Formats: sequence, C-alpha cells, structure tokens
Amino acid sequence: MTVVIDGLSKTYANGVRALSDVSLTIPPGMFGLLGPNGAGKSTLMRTIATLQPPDSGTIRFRDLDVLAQPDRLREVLGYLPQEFGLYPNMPADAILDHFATLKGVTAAGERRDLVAALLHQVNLYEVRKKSVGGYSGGMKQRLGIAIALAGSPKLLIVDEPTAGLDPTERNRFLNLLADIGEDVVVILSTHIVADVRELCSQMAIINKGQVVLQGEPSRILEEVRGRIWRRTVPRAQADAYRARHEVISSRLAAGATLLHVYHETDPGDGFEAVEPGLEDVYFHRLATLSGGRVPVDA
Amino acid sequence: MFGPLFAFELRGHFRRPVTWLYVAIMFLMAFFATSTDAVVVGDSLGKLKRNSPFALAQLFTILLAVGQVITGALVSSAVLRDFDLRVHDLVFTTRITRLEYLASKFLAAFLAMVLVFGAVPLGALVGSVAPWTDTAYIQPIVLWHYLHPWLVIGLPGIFFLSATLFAVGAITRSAFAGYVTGFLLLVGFTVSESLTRTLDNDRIANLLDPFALRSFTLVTRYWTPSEKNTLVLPWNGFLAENRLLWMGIGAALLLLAFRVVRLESAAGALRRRRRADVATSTSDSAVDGLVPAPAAVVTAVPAVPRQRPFGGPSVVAGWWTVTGFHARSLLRSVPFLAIGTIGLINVFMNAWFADQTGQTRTWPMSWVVAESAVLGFSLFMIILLTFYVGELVWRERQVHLDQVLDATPAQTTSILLGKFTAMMVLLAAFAATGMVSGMLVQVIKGYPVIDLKVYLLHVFVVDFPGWFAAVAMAFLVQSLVSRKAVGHVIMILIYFSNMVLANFGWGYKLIMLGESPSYRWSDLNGAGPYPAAFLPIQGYWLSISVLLLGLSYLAWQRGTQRSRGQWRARLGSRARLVLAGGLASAGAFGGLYYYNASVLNQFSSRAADERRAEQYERRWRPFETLTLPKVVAVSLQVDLEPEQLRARTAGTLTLVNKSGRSLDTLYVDVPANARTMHVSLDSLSADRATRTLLTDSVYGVHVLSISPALAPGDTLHLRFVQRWASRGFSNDGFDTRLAANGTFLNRGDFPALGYQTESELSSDELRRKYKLPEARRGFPRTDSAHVKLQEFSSHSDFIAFDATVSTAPDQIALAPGYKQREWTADGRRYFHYAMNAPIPDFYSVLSARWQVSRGEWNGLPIEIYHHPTHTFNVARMIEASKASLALFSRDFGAYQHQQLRILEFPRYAGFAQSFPNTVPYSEGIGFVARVDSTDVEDMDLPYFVTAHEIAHQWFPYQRMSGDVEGKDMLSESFSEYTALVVTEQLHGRPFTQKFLRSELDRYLRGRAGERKAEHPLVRTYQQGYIHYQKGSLALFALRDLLGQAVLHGAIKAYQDERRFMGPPYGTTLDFMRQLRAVTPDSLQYALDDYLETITLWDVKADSVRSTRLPNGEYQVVLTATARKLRADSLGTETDVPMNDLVDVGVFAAAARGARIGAPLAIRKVRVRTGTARYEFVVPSEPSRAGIDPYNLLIDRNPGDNSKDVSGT
Repeated sequence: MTVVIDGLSKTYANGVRALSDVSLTIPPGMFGLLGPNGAGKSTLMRTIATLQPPDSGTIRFRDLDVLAQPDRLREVLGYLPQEFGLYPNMPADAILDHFATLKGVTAAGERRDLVAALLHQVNLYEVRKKSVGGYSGGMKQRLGIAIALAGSPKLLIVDEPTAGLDPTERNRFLNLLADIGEDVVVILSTHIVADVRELCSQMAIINKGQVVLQGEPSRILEEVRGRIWRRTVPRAQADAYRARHEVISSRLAAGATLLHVYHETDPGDGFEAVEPGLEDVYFHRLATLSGGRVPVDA
Repeated sequence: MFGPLFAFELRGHFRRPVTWLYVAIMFLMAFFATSTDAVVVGDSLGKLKRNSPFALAQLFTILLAVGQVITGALVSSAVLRDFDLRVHDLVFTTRITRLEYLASKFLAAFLAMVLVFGAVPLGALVGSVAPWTDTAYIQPIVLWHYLHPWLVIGLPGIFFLSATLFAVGAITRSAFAGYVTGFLLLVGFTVSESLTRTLDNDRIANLLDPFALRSFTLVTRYWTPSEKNTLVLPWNGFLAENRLLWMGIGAALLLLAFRVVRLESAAGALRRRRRADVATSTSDSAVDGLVPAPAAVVTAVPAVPRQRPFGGPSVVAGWWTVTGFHARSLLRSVPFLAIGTIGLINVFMNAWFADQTGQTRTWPMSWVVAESAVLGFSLFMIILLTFYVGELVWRERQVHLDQVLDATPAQTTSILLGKFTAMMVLLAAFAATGMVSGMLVQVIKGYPVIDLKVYLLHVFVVDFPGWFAAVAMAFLVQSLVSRKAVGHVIMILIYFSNMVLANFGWGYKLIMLGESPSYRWSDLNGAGPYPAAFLPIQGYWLSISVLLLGLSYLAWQRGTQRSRGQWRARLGSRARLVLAGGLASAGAFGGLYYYNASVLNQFSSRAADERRAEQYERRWRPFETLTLPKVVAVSLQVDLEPEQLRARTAGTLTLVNKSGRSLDTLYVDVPANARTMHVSLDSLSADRATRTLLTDSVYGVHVLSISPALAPGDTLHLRFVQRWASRGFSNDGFDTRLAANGTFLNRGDFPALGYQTESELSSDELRRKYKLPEARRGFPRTDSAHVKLQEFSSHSDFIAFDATVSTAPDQIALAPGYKQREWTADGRRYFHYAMNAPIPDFYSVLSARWQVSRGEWNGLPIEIYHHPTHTFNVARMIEASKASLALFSRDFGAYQHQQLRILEFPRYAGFAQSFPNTVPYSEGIGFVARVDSTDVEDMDLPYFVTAHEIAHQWFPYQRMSGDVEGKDMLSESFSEYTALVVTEQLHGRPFTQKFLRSELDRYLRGRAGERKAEHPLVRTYQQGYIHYQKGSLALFALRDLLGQAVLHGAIKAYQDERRFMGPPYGTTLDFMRQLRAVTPDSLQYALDDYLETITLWDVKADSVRSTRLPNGEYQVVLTATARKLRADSLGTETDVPMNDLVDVGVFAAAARGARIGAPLAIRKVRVRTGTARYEFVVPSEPSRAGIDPYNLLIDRNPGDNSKDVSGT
C-alpha cells in the first residue's frame, strides 16, 4: 500500500528541469509535500497522477507499474489539481454524478446515494442544483474534493488545496482530508507549513526538483531542536544581524523584525532559544541549499 | 486621458500581426478578384469590366459582408482583451472614466477596421495594373471608382458593424454573444432575400439587410452593361435608406453601451444576480468565507458509504455518461440554444417561402418544404459543428478541469465517442426540429398532407449521414491543433475547399467532405433511381467517420502533455482493428462509388466538358456546309422497359434529295452515351449501299457515303436501331430520361441530320479561352439561305409522322398523333399513333401510370394525363384549353389537330413544351401550383402556361419561321401575348397589369444581365428576356394602341401568307410588313419604339390632387413628367423627343390581390417630353391616379407611375 518513486526525472521542452532523480517512498496515511513555488511539486504530482510522462524513473503503487499501466492506477486514484475549474453552466450534482460514473460507480442507485452523501459531506447539498458558475472559490474547492473522493480512491493526490482559502474554509477542508481511511495514501502538496504539521504523519521537502528531506515531521523537528534562536530587532538593524548570523527567516512583527537564526550553540548577541517549528526546518534546509542565504521576506 | 488611451489602443492594433493578416486577406481577395478568375466575387462579367464602378462596388459590398467575421474578431477582441488578459481590475481602478475608456477602444477599433478595408480599393487598384490581367476586362483607371465604394458602402458599413459588435461585446463581455449577433445579421440578410422574391416587398426587404447587399442589387438591378461601366452608386433611395437605418441602429447600440456599461469586474447586472441567488439560497453562509458553518449542518451529514473498490467504468458506461452529460451541458448553453434557434427560424423561413419562387406558387407539398428545410439547415449545421466540436474537445482544458477528467479511469474511447455522440445527437435533434417546423408550415399553410417518408428520406437518409464525416473531421482537427481557433480556421478552409472544388467543376463527391448524394423526389417517380447511390456514398462517409474518429483517438490528448510515443502506444490491437476496418470499408464503399461514377460512367470536370465541346466543334464544324437530303417522314418503333430503365428506339427516316444536285454523303447525328445512360447504335442502314467514312462514338457522329449517289428528287430510307440502358450512377446523379414512372424521350433523343450548332460553346469568354472564332449572333433576316431552313431542324421541312410505342402493361405510352390501335403482346402494352397532317420535325415519346381527365371543346377531345393525386389544377387546365382553342381558332385560323393532350412528367425538368397536339408539362410547375388570385404576385400559371403551350400549335407550327434573327418573336412572343389575352378574359385588366409589371421587371433584369448585346425585339436571338418578357409587353401595348382586331388581323395575315408551307419560312420582316400595312401613320412610331429599337420611357406622376365638387363629383388634377430614351446594344442611352399616346387615368381602390382598381376616368393623350397637367372629373371618390397606370411603357421606375390621391 505504498507509493514507491524511484529516480524520477523530467525536463520540460523550455529547458526547465522540473524533477531530477526524485526517489520517495510514500506510506499510507497523509503525506505532506512541502516546497516553494516552482520546486516541482505539481510536476511530481501530475506525474504520479498519470497526467504527464516523466523522462525517466519509475513509480509503483502496490504492485502496479504506474507508468506502464496508467489506466489501472486511475481506477484507484483521486486527484485534485492545484488550479481547476468546473463546467460553469452545470449544477453540482450533475457534475459529481458524471464524475462518479467516470470513476466506475455505474450502478444508478449506488451512485445516487454516494453523490448525496458526498454533497452533504462537503456541505453543498443545499446548492446542488445551482450552476457552479455562481460558486465561490471555497465551494468549488469542496466540490473538487468531492469529485476526488468519489469512487473510493486508494491513492488521493491533492495539490495545494488550501491555497486561496480563508481560514474557515481551510479548516473545513483539512477536516475532510483527515477523515479519510487509514489505508489510503494521501499526498498533499502545499507551501503552507502549518498544513503539514497539523495533518501529516510523513513529509518531504522538495526544492529545485530534488528531494531535500523526508521523514516524520516530529523526527525532522529533532534535527534542529536546540539550534534555532530568535531575536526581535529594529528594522534598521536587521541587515547588520543578517551579516553576522545564519538567518533562516525574518519577518515583520509589530513594526520590528523578528529574526530566526540557526546556530549549533547559543549565538549570544541577544538571541534566545526557541522551540523549532517546521518552518524552521524548511527554511534552514532551503537556506543550506541556496548557499546559506534565503531570500528575505521582510 | 482620451488621447493617450486612443493612441495606445491604435498602436496595439497595428502591432498585432493578426491585424496585418486581415489587411493581407482583404488586399489579396480584391487583388485576385480584379486580376484573375481565381477568385470570383459576385456576378460573372460578360461586357462588364472588372474595374467598372459596378464591379468594384459589388466587390466591396460582398467583402464587407464576408468580412463581418473579421470585423467581429477585431472589434470584440478589442473590447474583451482586458478581461481575457485579466488586467481589467488594474485598468478600472485607475482614474480613467467610462466614456474615455469605451470611446478610445471603439474609435481605435473602428479606425483599424477602416484601414483594414482600405486594403480592398488598394488591392483592386494593384490588381487592375497587374501584368497578367486580361486587358479586355479592364477599362482606364478612374481613382474615384475605387475610392467611392469605400466611402459610401465601406464607412457606413464598418461603422454599423463595429458599433454593433462593440456594444454587444461591451455589454455582455462575451465573445460568443458577438458570434450570435453575427449570425442574427446573417439571418436578417436571408430573410430579406426571401422577401425580395416578390416585387412589392422591396422596401422592407431592403431595410432588413444589414449588409446592404440587397440595396446594392435593388439599386443596380436594371443597370445595363454600359451603365455598370460608368455609373457610381447614387447615395439616395434604397442605399441611403438602408445605410442610414443601420448606422442609426449601430449608433443607438453604442449609446446604450456607453450608458449601461460600468467599469466593474463583474459583467452585467445579470451575472451578479445569479450569484446572489446562490448566496441567499444556500444554508452555507460561508459562501463569503467569513462565518463558520453552523455545527448543526455538520452533524446532519450522513456518512459517505464505505465504498467497495469500483474499478473503471466500462467503455459503454463511460460513453453513455459523457454523451448525456455533454448533451445536457450544450442544451444549457445559451449561445448554443441561440444559434440553434436562429437556425430554426432560418429553416422555418425557408420552409415558409418554399412554395413561392418568382411567379410560381405551389401547394406546400412535403417535398417542397423538405427540400427547402434541408437547404436551410446546412449553414447552421456547419456553424454548430465547427464551433461546438471545438467547445467539446477543449471544454475541460478551457475550464481547467482537464486534469481531473484525465485522472479518472474513464477510457479515452469513452470520452471521445461520448462527445462525438453528444454532438451528433444534438445535430440530429436540430434536424428533427427543423423537420417538424417544416411540417408545421404545411399545416399553417393549409395543406396538412404530411408525407413522413419524404421528410425522413430528405433529412436523415440523404442529408444527415454526411454530417457524421464533417463532425468526425472536426474532432480530428481539434485533437491535432494546439489552439481551438486554429481548428476553426482549418474547418472553415475545408468547407471553403468544398465550394472551390464545386465551383471549378471538380466536385467529385468522394473528395468533398460530407457531400450528400444527388437526390430529387418526384410524386410520379418517388425516389426514382437515386437510392442506388445512397449506400455507397453514405457508407463511405460513415466509414470515413470511423477512420477519422480512430485517428482522433490516436491524437487525443490525455494528461497535460502529449507523450512522444503516444500514437504508437495507442495503436493497440483494438485501434488497429478500428482503423483497418474503417479504411477497408471506406475503400469498399468508395470503390463501389468509383466503379459506378468513374468506370461504368464517366466523371468529367467542367474543363473536360468544355474541351469536349471545343473538340466537337473543331472536328465537325467543317461539315456544317455539307448539303444533305431533307427528312420528309419519320416512323418510330420505340420499346420502353420502364421497370428495367431500358429501351430500344428504332425508326425509319425518309429522306428526299431536294437540293438539285446529286448527293453521296450523309452526316447523321445519333444520341450517344450521356451521364448514366449508355446508348448504343445497333445499326444504321439504308436501302442503298452505305459505307461509313467517319465515325465518332463520343459525339454520335456518323458520316456515310451512299452509292449510288442520291439523284435530285430521289428518296432514301435510313433506318436506325439504338439500345438504351441505364447503368449505375454518376457523380452528378442520374440520367432521368428513362424513368420507372414518367419516361420522357425528347426530339434530341432520336437521330438528326447534320452538324448540331447547339453543341458548341456559346459564351464569349469560353470561346476566347479556347481560341474559337467569335460566337455567332444569328443570321440576318435577309439571309436567303437561312430563311429556307426552318428553326427546328435545318434538314427537314414539314414531315409525316407515326410511332409505335410499347411499354409496361400498367402504363400508357404517348407520342404525337392519334391513337390508331392499342394491343398487348408478350405482356407489353403497345400503342400505335399516326399524324394525319404534316408537322414540324419535332416529337417526343412519354410513358407513365397516368389517370386521364377529359374535357371537350366543340366536340374536340381535351385530355389531361396526370398523376392520380395531382388533381389541383386539372379542371383549370381544361378550362384554359377550351378558352385558348376558342380564341385562337376564331382570330388566327383553325386548329389543325383533332385532339389536344397535356401530359404530366416528373419534375426532373421544370418546363412545359408543346409538340403537335401533345403538351408535356412538368409536375413541378403547373400540376401542384396553388392559384390564389388574392396574391398580388400570383400569375395563375397553370392557366397561363396551358394557354401559352396551346398557342404554339399556331405559332410556329402553322407557319414555321426561318433560322434567322427574330424567329423566337414569331413563336414565343406571339404565344406569350396571346396566352395573356386568354388569361385576361378570365381575370380582367388588373391581372394584366400585375402580369406585365412582372414581365417588365424580368425584361429589365434580363437586359441588365446581358453578356453580349441587346437586340430589338424583331431581331431577338436566343434572348429569352426579349422574346418572352419584352414580347408580351410590346404586343400588349400595341394591342392597346391599335386595337385587338387590327393586331390579331395582322398576325392572322402573316400566318395566312404561307400557312403549312415549306421554304422560304417566315421572318419578322414578313410580320412587320403585315403590321405596318394596318397601322395608321400616327401610330407607326410605336412599332419603331417597341419592336424595331430599344426604347425606354421614364414617366412619373408628380402630384395628384382631388377636390370634391359641389355636385358630389370629384375633380382630380394630375401633374406628370415624361421622357423617352433610345438605348444601343450595350445600354448607352440618348434622349429622343417624345410625342406618344399614353394612358392617363383615375382609379377606384384596388381589390385584394391587384395593384389597380376599376378606372373612373381613363383616356389616351399625346404626352410630350416634360411636365404636363391633366384634369379629370370623376363621379365617385378616387383612390389613385397616374400616367401609364397599366405599365405598358418600358419604364425602369414603374412604381412611380401612379400615386395615391391626396385631398385638398
């Protein structure tokens, strides 16, 4: 019940190397895929979802060679791409019914129950007869997950599902994901670290097409525990601190700049120890990869 | 703000390559239309120069209408660009005002369009001076002629189109709304076309046409070649009315847009409301994302049932849901419904007007309506399939749902076939709805005899299968291209290539995508032979559809990117099987088609046909001067096998050497193979020894030597035996001379002597192209050699005739003559007919299952042989026959036969033709006509045409005319005129007025389209518009001036001069001598004007005033202007002084179906050039008054002769 990715590479026609020798093993449960914009997350997910052939490498799901038999994978796949739309002039129930059929729920009665249940679950039942052209972003996103969930997928791939959602919608959405059975592989890509921390039992960070790190979030935190320090400094002095320390993140807080630095030992200089978050791991890794400096956010 | 914005927009237009593509298209169209024959825009030319103001204006008008597509594209992309690029929020939040924003965009787009169309005059100008341009078609360049259409047609047209499309785009923010508007305009044009089939709707029709194409036609319809070469379009009347109206509409829409469009993100009020609906009706107030959902709702959620793993859907289940989903989705799409509805309106309009073409009004029979309904579909089928196959293929990619769909286990086959099926189902529904609307028309019009079989055959058997191939092709194209619009363009090019192939005479059906088999329904003959070609061609298109869909499957993009090895990977065993199956069956059906159309029969392109005619002339014309004996008797033995479409024609021609010198050579022309008819010559023998000198089986020419030579006065019997057999089908349908029910063998289907001039190429342009000598224009009336040859056949005089015809036992066979005997032998029914008096060498043989209706006139039997259900007008035809026989035998001499027969034949041809005592009459023109005297366009054709054909028994059968100019006046003008006299007896003078008004219109149009030179009536030569239309008008006007007795006396005197006598034959010189003799000097001018010259008048009622007198009578004062002109053969006019007798009169109100009422006062007065005043006192209230109220003068503005009375 695991997805095993081995040596996946992909270079686009315009020369962009989206994946380079990616190998990952994804066990059942929620798997978080973290990375900045353009890291290759979507390419990886599309490739797993059989939508785009890689240049080289293999993907196996259970004993299935995904690239050789895309049709077989699609039978157990639920996929929600990062950006998607819906047939604007059709009502939600017709769309969901259509996709349920396409996913093999061909018995009419069974499908009717399923569609009703899914619509209830994503809280669209009351508006199921409305054209989705009038739906808000969150409603569309929820209908998307209902489509992905139809047909009891064993592999669920959701690409940046919470981007653009307000906190309420985001919570509702993540709750839906959390309810999915334990024997299902759920791959969740995001650049929002909190999503991963809250939901995922396993995670990976990818950047520039390469896997930077993989493991359980709690284990990963161990890696930097006791090495993250913070200090709030006036904005004018931030640059001076950046020159002196390995700053992994900086952001504005109440008019001053809050700096996190990575240091094996107490760096002094007014810094205090802090309980590390995934962000720290994430930024630390990215900083390491990009030669010790991160693009400054603030 | 406006200036910079405008400059920015305009710069944008010029920086986009597509603008220059439009410029290039316009330039090249104009360039090629002027410099070559490759692009033909508008009428063919004849004497018209390619750079005449007429041709240039026509070119511009048509390109503007066609260019509507370009205007739409450029203007709506200008107005929608900000939304497409999603920069509208950025733009709208600047300080720009609504007016500045819209005005700058509109003006820039308008200016860009003005410049795009500026390429037309430029292209035409460059085309006129291109080195290869045939200078015969170019006149000296006048720059104003190039510029003028751009100003009077171009600017108003571009303004209207840009304003309308801009306003629609700005208000709806939808490109599709723009398309729909374009289609609506197109429908306006079609409706206006339907309306102009009648004379009195000119004004409305003109106003309805958004492209001013109609206005152009109306303004120039009577222009002669010389006027077309010199006059620019006048900016008044039809053109000005139309352009002002549509510019007004454009301006109004633009103002509306400026008022209602707001610079906001959401489009119109409409869309916002719909959104609000969702928000208020949902229990989920989190639509706006701010309020958490109530907990109650969450707990009420039933658990999603634990699903067992499903696996993918089967191909069929997937196909079915995709079909249903997309069919429903299209049905919910407003633009689809809009186009479909417009299409149905178009079909309905077509069906509504199907029963009237010109003067013909028919009952709305099922086939009449079904044919026109199918015509009404085609354009909209093309539009729907082109756009919506694009939509279907690109649907998910457009809404960004492609990844979701492609990640489902649904099979690609299901998706492709489902979408294909959805399209086909909707097209079928469209066709079926159109069919039902046709039936509805039948019911509304009061002829609810609905023949479902006829409809189904037309719509679903003949027409529909071809659309499978067109739709499959659209799927393949859209699967291959990288952008939807590119696919549209490729599809349009494919249809365009179909038209081009057909235009160039290369229309082999197998290479014209979706072309339907030839087909024509006839009530007599049912579907006739046509179904034989249905299976091969429709099977071929269905196989091609399978093949194209198979290829679409290989090309279909699944996932975000096509993989490199996709084609090979998809080419599994199933795909191979489908492709191979499609290919094999396309090959089999196509092969069957090819075998029929190209092996059993010949496919020849138009160019090949032209070369054949050229070869014929080059090889055989030298024999034209060969002296031959004359045919004096014909005896036919014809055995028809209608069941098998076979026949044996045999006969003996009795030839006598009347030449005065001995003759040893015979030139015989026998029927040869034609289309699907294989005609073989079994034997050609004589009662002297003959030897074949030259033979040519392609043209059926046989040159024989006779020995011993035929001495003067000697007789020779020439016997022929030919076999006819229909074989297979051809690319252009069938030879329908032999029919299962309704065989019609005409004179040309039997041998004749001598070279056949009518097989030559006749058009001047073609003769120039093939370097043949200039076309003959007919021989002068003083050519004594040709006066000795009669018009039907140069090598016969009057002949004796008899025929024995056998046919199927349930049919009647007919030929001229009287039935001598009827018997049955070997299961065949035999008839023997013999003529008891000499007749022209002109006969025919017909056979069908007829019902016979009888009447009699003074003991003379009148028989109508008609299809059992075609009884609508049989009584009318009998009445017309009686009235004709009565009038003609009273005024022009006795009827020479003892019987009169009218025979209905299938509508494969649409004429009636008079043979001695026998008149074949097409099913299509009289038998299903619907006479309605309350219709102002109705001409009671069954009555009139019957009278016309009976008149031919006198003219020319009692005195044949010589083969010189003017001969057709002596037959056709006389028949047309005398038939009108007979019809007037029934319907009265108002009928004559509307009849002549229509004849006048057709004459004026005819001369406007003259390609060579217009002749005066007495010298008419192969010019139907002169000897029919001008003929009846001229003779009727002379009857009014001279009196009926005098005119008929002159005609009778002409007949009496040499009635039933051989050469020399009659000429118009002979007739004019008789006519001049009885015409008083004061009226001799009228003979010059109507018969000997081309004369036009222009009379006009300027004002009509009526005053009620104290004694209750009315005084009416009419002022009228008159003018008279002479035209030369190209239509150049010069004023001549006028002093002519013309009617002036005052009339009571007209009855329904007439334009003119009873005269209250009418008198003939001498009218001189200039304006004059006429006074009348009439006893009751006048309604109308005018000069030449009955339209007897040849006047290009006949509508202004009378005016409604205005009181004082």
